[in-house]
Amino acid sequence: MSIRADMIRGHTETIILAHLMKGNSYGYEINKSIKEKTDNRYELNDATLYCAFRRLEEAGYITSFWGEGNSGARRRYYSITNEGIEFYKKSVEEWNLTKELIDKLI
Amino acid sequence: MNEKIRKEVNSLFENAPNTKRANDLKDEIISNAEDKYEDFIKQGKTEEEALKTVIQEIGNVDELIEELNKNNPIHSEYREEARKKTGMTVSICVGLYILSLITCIVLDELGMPDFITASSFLAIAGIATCILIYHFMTKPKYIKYEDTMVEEFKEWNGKKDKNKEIKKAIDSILWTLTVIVYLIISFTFGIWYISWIIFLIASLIENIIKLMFKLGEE
Repeated sequence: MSIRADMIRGHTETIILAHLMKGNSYGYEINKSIKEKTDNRYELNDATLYCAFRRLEEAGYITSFWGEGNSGARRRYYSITNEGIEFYKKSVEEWNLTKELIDKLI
Repeated sequence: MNEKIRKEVNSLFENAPNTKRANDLKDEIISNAEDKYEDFIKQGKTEEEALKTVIQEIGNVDELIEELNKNNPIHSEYREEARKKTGMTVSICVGLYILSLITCIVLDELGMPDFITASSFLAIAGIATCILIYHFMTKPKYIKYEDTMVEEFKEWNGKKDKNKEIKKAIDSILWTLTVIVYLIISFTFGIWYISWIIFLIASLIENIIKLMFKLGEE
C-alpha cells in the first residue's frame, strides 16, 4: 500500500534535520538514506528536497558550504545549526504528541 | 559521461535567471545527479538508461524554481521579525537626530560655549549614525528583498540601471557638500544656533532632485 504524499510532506524538514543531527551531509546522500531506511517505500522528489533545503536555510536551521564532489564538481553540504537542533527537538516532541492523539482517535 | 549530465542539466536551466542562486542550485543538482548516475551504473543499468532516469527524476526545473519562489511560513515569520527590528532601530535613530538638534538649541540658549554645543550635537548624531550603519551592515541581505528568484532577477537587472547609479552618486556628493558647507559656515561665522538648517535645505534639495528624476523617467 502506498502512502499519500501529503501524510508525510509536513514532516519533510524534520526528516532532513534528523539526518543532519548525525553529521554534515548532502542532498543525494540524505535522500538515499531515506530510501534505505524505508526499504524503498519512500523517497523525496528533487523539487521537495531542494525546496526544503532552502526553507531550512532561510530559517537559519541549517547552513551550507561547498566541498569537493566525487568527480570534480563542487558539492553542496549542509550542517545543522543550534537553532536547527532546537527546532528538531521541538518537532519530534510535537510529532510524539500528535501520534499519541491520532492513535486514540483512529 | 559526466559531461553529458552537465550538458543535460545546463539545458534544463536554459531559461532560468542568471543569478548566483540559480547557478548554485544548478551545481547542486549536477553533483547529486552524478552520484545517482554512478549508483544506477553500479546497479547494472546501461549508461543511456541511467542518464535518462537521472534527468527524468530531476523533473521540471521551471516548477522547481516556481516552488522555490513560493512564500513559506517559516521565512515570512523570520522576515516579519527583522522588519520590526529595522523599524525600531530607524525610529530610535530619527529620535536621536531630533534630540541632537534640540540639545543644540537648548545648550546654545543656556549660553554654553560653542564647542560644547557643537560636540554634543555631533556626539548624539554620531551615535545615531553608528547604530544605523551597524544595523544595516549586520542585517542579513536576503531580508532586504523579497527572497525570490524573480526579485533577484530584478535586482540583477536593476544593477544595470545607470540612472540608479547616477542618483546614488549625486546623493553622496550632495550630502558630503552639505557637511562641508555646514562646518565651514558654522566655524567661520560662529552661527551654530542656526546653521543646522543647512541639513534641512539639503534634504529639500535631495527631494527636488528625486522628483526631477521621476518626472524625467515618465
